[in-house]
Amino acid sequence: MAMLALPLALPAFAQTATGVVTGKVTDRNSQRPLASVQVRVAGSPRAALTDDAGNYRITAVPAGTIQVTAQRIGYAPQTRTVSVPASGVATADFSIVVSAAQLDVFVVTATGTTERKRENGAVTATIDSSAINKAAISTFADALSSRAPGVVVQQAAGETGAGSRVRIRGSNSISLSNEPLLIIDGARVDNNPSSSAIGTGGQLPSRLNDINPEEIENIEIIKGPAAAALYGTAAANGVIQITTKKGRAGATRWDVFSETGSIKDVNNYEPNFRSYGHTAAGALVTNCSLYSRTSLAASKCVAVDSTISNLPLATAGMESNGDRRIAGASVAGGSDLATYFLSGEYQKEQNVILVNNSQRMNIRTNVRGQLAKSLDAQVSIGFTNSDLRRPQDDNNAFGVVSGSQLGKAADCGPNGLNLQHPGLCGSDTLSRGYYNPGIDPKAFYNINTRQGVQRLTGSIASNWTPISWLAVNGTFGADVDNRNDNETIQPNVLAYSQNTLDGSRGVYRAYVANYTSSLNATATYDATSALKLTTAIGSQYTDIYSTRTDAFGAKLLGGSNSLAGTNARFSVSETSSEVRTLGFLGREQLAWRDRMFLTLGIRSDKNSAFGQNFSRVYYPSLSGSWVISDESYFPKVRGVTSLRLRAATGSAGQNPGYLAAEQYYTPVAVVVNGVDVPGFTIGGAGNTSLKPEKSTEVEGGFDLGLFNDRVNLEYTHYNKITKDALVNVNLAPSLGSSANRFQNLGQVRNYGDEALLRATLYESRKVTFDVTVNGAWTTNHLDDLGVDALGNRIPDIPAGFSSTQIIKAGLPLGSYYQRALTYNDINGDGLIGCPNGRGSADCEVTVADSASYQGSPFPAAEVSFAPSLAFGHVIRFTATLDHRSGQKLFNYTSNYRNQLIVNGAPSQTPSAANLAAQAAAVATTLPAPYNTYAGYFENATFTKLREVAVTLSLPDRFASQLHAGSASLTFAGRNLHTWTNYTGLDPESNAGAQANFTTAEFLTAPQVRYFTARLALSF
Amino acid sequence: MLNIQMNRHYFARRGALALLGGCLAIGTACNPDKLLTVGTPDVVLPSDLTGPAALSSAYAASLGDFQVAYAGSSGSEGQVIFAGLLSDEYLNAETFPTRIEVDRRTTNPINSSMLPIFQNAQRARATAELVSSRYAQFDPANANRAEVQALAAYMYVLFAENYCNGVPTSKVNDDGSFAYGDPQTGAQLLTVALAKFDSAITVATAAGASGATALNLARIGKARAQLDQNNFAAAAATVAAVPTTFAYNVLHDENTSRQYNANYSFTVTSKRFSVSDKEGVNGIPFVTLNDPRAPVVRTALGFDGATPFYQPLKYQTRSAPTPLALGTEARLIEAEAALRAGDDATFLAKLNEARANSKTYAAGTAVPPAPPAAITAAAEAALSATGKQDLLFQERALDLFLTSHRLGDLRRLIKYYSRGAETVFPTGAYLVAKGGSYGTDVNLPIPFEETNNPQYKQCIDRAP
Repeated sequence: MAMLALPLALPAFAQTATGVVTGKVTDRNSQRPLASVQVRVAGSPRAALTDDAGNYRITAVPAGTIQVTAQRIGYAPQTRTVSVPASGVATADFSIVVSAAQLDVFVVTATGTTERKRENGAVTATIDSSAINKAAISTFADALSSRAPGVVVQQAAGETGAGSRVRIRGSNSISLSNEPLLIIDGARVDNNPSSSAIGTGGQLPSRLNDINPEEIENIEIIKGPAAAALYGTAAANGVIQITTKKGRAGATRWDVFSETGSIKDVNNYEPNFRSYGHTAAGALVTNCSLYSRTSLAASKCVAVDSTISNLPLATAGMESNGDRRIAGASVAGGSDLATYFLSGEYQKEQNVILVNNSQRMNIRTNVRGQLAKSLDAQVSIGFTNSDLRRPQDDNNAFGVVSGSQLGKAADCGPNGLNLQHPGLCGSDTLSRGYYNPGIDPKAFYNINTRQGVQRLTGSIASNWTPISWLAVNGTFGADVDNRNDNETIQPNVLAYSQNTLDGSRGVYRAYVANYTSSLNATATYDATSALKLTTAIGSQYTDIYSTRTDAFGAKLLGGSNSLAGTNARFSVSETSSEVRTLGFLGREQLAWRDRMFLTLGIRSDKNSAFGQNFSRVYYPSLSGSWVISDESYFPKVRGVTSLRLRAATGSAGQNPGYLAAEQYYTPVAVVVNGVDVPGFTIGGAGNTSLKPEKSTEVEGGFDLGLFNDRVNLEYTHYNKITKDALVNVNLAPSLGSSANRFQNLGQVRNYGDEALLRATLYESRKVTFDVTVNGAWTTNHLDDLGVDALGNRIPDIPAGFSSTQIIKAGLPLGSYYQRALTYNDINGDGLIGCPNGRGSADCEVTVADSASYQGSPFPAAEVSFAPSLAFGHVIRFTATLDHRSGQKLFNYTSNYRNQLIVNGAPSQTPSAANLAAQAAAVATTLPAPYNTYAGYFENATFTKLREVAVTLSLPDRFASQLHAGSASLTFAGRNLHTWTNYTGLDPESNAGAQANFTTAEFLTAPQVRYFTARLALSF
Repeated sequence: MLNIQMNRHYFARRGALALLGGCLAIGTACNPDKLLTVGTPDVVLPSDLTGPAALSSAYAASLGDFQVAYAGSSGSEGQVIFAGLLSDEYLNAETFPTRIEVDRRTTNPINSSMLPIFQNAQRARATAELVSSRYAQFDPANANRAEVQALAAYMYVLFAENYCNGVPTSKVNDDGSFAYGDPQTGAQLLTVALAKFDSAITVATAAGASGATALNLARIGKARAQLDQNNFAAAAATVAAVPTTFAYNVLHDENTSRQYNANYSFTVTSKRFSVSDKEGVNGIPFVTLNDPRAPVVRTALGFDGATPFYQPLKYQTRSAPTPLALGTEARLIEAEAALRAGDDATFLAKLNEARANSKTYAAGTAVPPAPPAAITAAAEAALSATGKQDLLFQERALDLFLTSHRLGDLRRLIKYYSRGAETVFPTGAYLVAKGGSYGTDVNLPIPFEETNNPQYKQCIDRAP
């Protein structure tokens, strides 16, 4: 390994005498030993974790007088001064108390070292994985959701395998991704939230789903450029840094668990309606809809005689309870020279939709070795093998949910219903009321869409401390993802079209690799007894590469699941992309009496995607932190334990995409004189001046500890501006070029407040009650969309379903933007109509003359409440309640049901109780440009009971019968209840999945409820 | 920053390169730019497409872009479909609001379905003009030059016939800068088209036998433009030498989805658009007539599960060609000139000559039926003046069915035959289930995205 060879190749420095520090850590209140406590030698990477007996052992500690600190999230750190004899053993025991403060929690920096939170003026959120009840979550996104202020996770659907949209402090970018950077054990990894080559109508799998929460030790969230500057280009949206579990010196410990659960769809679907009535002359009207009743035609329906309804999803038996099973095991242990952590897990989930299921296997091997007294190396390797079967739904008439919502008001069964319900089923006896007449809805199960992933994520990290004041670390990481998307349609099953009858097979194999290589050196110098200087320099190189090969064939041989079975309409394609970044960084920290810290940093990047005319970008940063309560002159205020003031500013960026700067043509096939020949068409217009967009953030706040740090409050205000925003500007079509081109234009602003309250409200030997409340208030604003090269303002950019959203200066990105709608039931008949057209005296809807802001799909505020109640170590209750407000959601489903398909209640059973919904539908039938969707932008404020869990520590005699050291049983539920005034199925639904801004509920399968039970044993 | 390499990158090499990158990065002897070199194996660069050697692929590029713009592809509707939707050829049988707007004659300039077809049309024009200039530079006598010139001219004609007044044509300069064009009226667009057709005719004539196809293509296009100018006599003279059996078809293939015939994809495959039958009171009863030149077959319901669906037999496969210019069209142009001149005999003769040589269709592999019988002189004489006009335009509608002629014809009926818009376009109540009424559009609006052209604000007007 060239990286590891480099440190060893340097001249040998004088060997420092070393010794060993060992001891035990206990909870001061209960006197019980504490596991997983990190014991660290100050100013050194030397550290160890305590085992179940609370014991630890740190080797290769420099001889002499040192300070050793024991810390664990949820406890106040404790420092002891120890004298370490050369080649000898020193003992330092610790007795630590519960504390909500996190000032001395260690976090990983961009230079590969660790530092305490108190040293950095920018706030970093830490999620302790052990505090998350794994039985209550199903994905890594669930582990992130509602746990850190400013981090908003939006799960778009209830499909198994569906992804989530993650935003940290709002959206910075207009056209590039707004997802945060993801790092695992120092290696950058693929975080593609929409990772598939096959569309199924809306939802797409996310690569976040590959991450096994069981393997995670802790999660650090670096929220913005103020903290992420040294991560450079690609870090403007924040960084999620995952550290996986590591072994510890001591006895081998085995952990095994088994979990089983059920999945239920408890959503309240509105059935499909159809009203029958008669004309003035008494003739039967088979569709006595709102439109018929308000028309002027002689054939209008004058009164409803009967109304029928049907929910095809239920009557056709298209859903059933799903289930979830997981089994896992891990082993950790080691010695002074080497520690290890090995784990494996198998997970299988069957969703309520029969053709939606997944299997996933995760394996992890983490090994650390002390190669020499001053040199250690760590290898972390994780492997994921998954298979996901994806359902059709959302904007797809073949779906279980979508086909039902667009279906009929009767179960068109074998006897047909033509006599009882004329004009409804016709000759259809198969659809069971589903949207596609004459086709058994289960026939659409023949569309077999799958994704197989084999992913290897690994890193090799080495630390070398040749002399006490110099530490060198190097990391090489690789994340290699082999993704196989495929879709098979067996012939002669689905009689929707000749295509589906022919059968087909498409295979889309992608290879995605993220390589990371970094080398850093950190030197510490005690200028005086009060002033300590820490200087770090480093470099980083990343290579993000992907290639995909597509193959398709039709006319599949029945029973074949291979391209080899296809016989016609063959097509092949190949695409690739690659972006490389080379960065250099430097950091200087001045620490005064371990209470005042000033840190300056600079990072400079070059990137292969920058335009030819742009060379290098610089990202400076500056932060200050002052633990003012440590000052002798700080007044003694009753209840106040600690107070830290902090502020930071910094810049980070995001690079243009592959080929964005280049003008190029795409090869195509063309028929010339009856023969296929190669041709080309415009691919990209290019922009040689393209540079990264740059986000600069200023943040400030405080950390307040009260009542001996039993209560801790963190508050932060931030203001972030993105300049030279990369906008995929629409080119005037008359140019005859590509549809758009990236330009550095415009300015986006995000600002807001975050607060995190942790409080141990009650603690005794038998009962502990603590709560965590986090809240964030975010404002997003497009300051300016910029001007083109000629100085002309860039026009607004329509976006979203039916162009109902907009990118417009002065508004939040992706705002809903339509002509406002008002209505008035002029004649008081309980019907809203506009029979003589807009502007006529009898038109009961009024549409504004111009479009205006109608709301944003992104919440302005999120507050989460997570209580935890423990009775000794016997039983523990936890819950998470999540509230989001300020957002709207486009209920596109309702529009389709009431304007196009006309099977919804407002259009079939109009009354004074649903005038607003009637008006919304009527307004969309007006001639352009007055057809407005404004009536469908609903308030989507909600409060959700996301998780409830109870963990029972089983009696020792039970565990011993299983030859286990301990046993616990957990019962948990997820997605338990929603309080909202939103009339659709789920205020979080989004048929746009993880798209930047496109947000609408459109025939989306809503979230489902999980109940799980988990038995965990330790040996 | 970006050096072009066509090398493939393998796992081991790339991994080792990344591993070495960090080490080398701090070395003083390396050139960091080399670490940032990436390849572009999937695309071709402008530098690869210069010179006479690239002419054949450039020619193919022009034909390919024209095919997508005119006749669509698997994922793009094309001018034929949208012109058919706005007129009375197609009826929307699906659920896309953006396409329903067009069928209902209420199209909003902000319309995500309209945008790509306008982009494709402009791209086809620009590509054809670029390729024409390349031929002028490297092989000016080649008959292909005449063909692409004619195709460029056809796009101008389609802009004039299908869109509102105000279509700009702009250009990307060689240095990558943009030269924005001013909005042009339909009359201005036709003037440009005529100049291009004349140039094509000149080149094609000089090319001799190899230019015959391009020559007739250009003649018919020129005559079409002259007809749009109401210069019917000149139009007839232009096509006098075009053989009645001539056909220039835009070709399709099953090879790639981009080459699919959109009229197949959006009808047979996805049942989005049905052939209409006396749409909106004024439309031609295409279904009822079931004329062998435009036959249909009923295939249950459309995508929306409610609209009776009639599939056009003219386009039964993905590779079915889409006619652009026909010898029968030439005869119909002559018939119109004769009618306008009061020459009933020639009018009838030309109509019947077109009928006799029209292409007919049948389902599957069945033998296509014979063309309709000739119109008798007595039947023609019994018609009023308006009736003869109706006959002419019905003949055009059937012979040129789903070839983006009908919309232009409806506009000519308003402009030059004193018909009211609401007596020729579909009007009245629009498909009760979907609600509302037909609007008043007589052309397609230019997409909002054209406002990125500083010279353009909106359509000059929406006049016919």
